[in-house]
Amino acid sequence: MSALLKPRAEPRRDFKYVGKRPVRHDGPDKVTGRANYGADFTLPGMIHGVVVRSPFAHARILSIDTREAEGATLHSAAQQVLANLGRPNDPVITVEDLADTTKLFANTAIPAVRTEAGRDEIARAAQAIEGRRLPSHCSAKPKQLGKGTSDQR
Amino acid sequence: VSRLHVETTVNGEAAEFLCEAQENLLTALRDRLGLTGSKEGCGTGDCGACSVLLDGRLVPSCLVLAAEARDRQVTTIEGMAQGGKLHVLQQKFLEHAALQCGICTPGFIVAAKALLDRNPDPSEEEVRYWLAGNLCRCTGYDKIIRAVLDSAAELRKEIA
Repeated sequence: MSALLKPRAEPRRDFKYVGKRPVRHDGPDKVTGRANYGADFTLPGMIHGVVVRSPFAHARILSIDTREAEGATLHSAAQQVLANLGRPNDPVITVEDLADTTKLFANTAIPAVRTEAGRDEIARAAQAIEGRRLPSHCSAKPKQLGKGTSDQR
Repeated sequence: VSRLHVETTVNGEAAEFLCEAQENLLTALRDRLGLTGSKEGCGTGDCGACSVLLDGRLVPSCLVLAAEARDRQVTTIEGMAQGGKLHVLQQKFLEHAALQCGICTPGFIVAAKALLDRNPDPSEEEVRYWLAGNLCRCTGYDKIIRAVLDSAAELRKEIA
């Protein structure tokens, strides 16, 4: 038997934490509400964003009312994030790009953002996207492929 | 822009803020008054993370209009510890390891306080029913229930 595998004559029992029930180190901050989570931070010039998810599995965006949601701000914010990640040349998808996409899947995310707006304004801006439902790509009855009707939303 | 001027009392201290008519109390507490201890979990009154007391009554602050706090008493998690000393519930949550990520914790503690304020000796079933409006997605409820029952026992001892 190698020396490594040889059991200690006297097992050590005077551990500081093993076998004990220590209070978690972040506990006091969490039970007092003092702990700062991501959503708890406020910084100067901070922008708010929401994710709007397509209610349809297959749809085309007809229009995006950008009066409330400013795509340009989103674009520059995204570029800033990429720059911070050291990848300044990665492409940035804008709301305009997304409007050309014909294939939106269930829960496809569409970005919307507005500077210096509260969450209520963001929520309203998020509703400014109009779309049209397209026929399903696949169906339980394959024969019906291509026969679906598009519903105006 | 017509904002509402609201004067209220938060955790025993006079407070005032300007808010939109449709703004909820949670937003006012977090964004206007900087009291971010109350969390937004769902925003629809299902999860209890935003629980506060309004004139001693347990409410989800996401479903209360900020303007409704006018001339009333609001109690949040920030008002639980007194003079740098943790409330018994806070202490017991730590001792019983009744939290992990901690997002639901302020809501649970505020809700439990509302229970113990009106019933100092609740049964386990009563605690479970009372806290049914608070959701925890990591620790599980058992440790939370034990922490609350132990807190109740501790508080009864203090009174006796």
